[in-house]
Amino acid sequence: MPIYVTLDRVLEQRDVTLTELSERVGMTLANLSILKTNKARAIRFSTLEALCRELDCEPGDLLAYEDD
Amino acid sequence: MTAYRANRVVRLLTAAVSFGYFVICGCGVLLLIVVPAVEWFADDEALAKFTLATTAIVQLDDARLVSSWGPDPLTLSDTKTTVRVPISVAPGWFRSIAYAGLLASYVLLLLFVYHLRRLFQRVRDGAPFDARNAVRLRWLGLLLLALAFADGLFAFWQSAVVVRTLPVTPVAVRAPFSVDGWAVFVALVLIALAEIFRRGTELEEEQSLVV
Repeated sequence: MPIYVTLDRVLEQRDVTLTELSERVGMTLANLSILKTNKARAIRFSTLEALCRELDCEPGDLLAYEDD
Repeated sequence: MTAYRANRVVRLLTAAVSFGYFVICGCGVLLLIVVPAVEWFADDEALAKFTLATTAIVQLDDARLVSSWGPDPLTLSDTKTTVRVPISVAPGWFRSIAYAGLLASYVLLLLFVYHLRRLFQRVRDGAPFDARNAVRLRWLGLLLLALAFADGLFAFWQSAVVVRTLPVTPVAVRAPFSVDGWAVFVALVLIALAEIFRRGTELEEEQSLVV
């Protein structure tokens, strides 16, 4: 898929683990893992908002586009 | 999000189908053990008490009867009747084929109820849109179709063989062929539902990947 999630990069920059993030945003670890491994088909705005709030970043920092 | 709990109707239906499944399994024991035991160990006098029921049509050539409603007569045409053949007079090959037919119908019915039970259990557990349920629904439809046609064909064969043994009588007797139309209709509905469930499974999988 051309759109992919760069959550792992942002987590590394902020020095936050996936487990900590799941507790802070109120998402299950399984769902965060789906997002991180680019298996997600879609992301809700509410999820994107929660991630940006907790990681103090822009939506563009979490998403990237690469034409196949 | 609260945990899913199936409604009372689903739980009752699941329990009923499970009960029916175990009853049918029990009947299988009777079929596999008791019927051959009766065949092998009972004498002719005892065997005469057991009969094979088959259906025949008696052609009445439009017999007319006047009812109390008025002078215009009511017409009686073909009449369906049950012919009971004592097992003691039926030849061995006929009994064997009848038994094989009964076993085949039993297996189809057992498979049908088994799949129905598993389907209801998955619905009760809150996972109706399961890929296996779509496959099960298709199997239910196909098994019901097979049962309807197998029963119809077998009953016709049995009736045709018995009717041929009857002496020439003033009234003509013939073997009827019929397939349960409602069973065929329900089978086709189940097969269509299987496709709907398959699509439902795809949508649910896609939904589960929306975070």
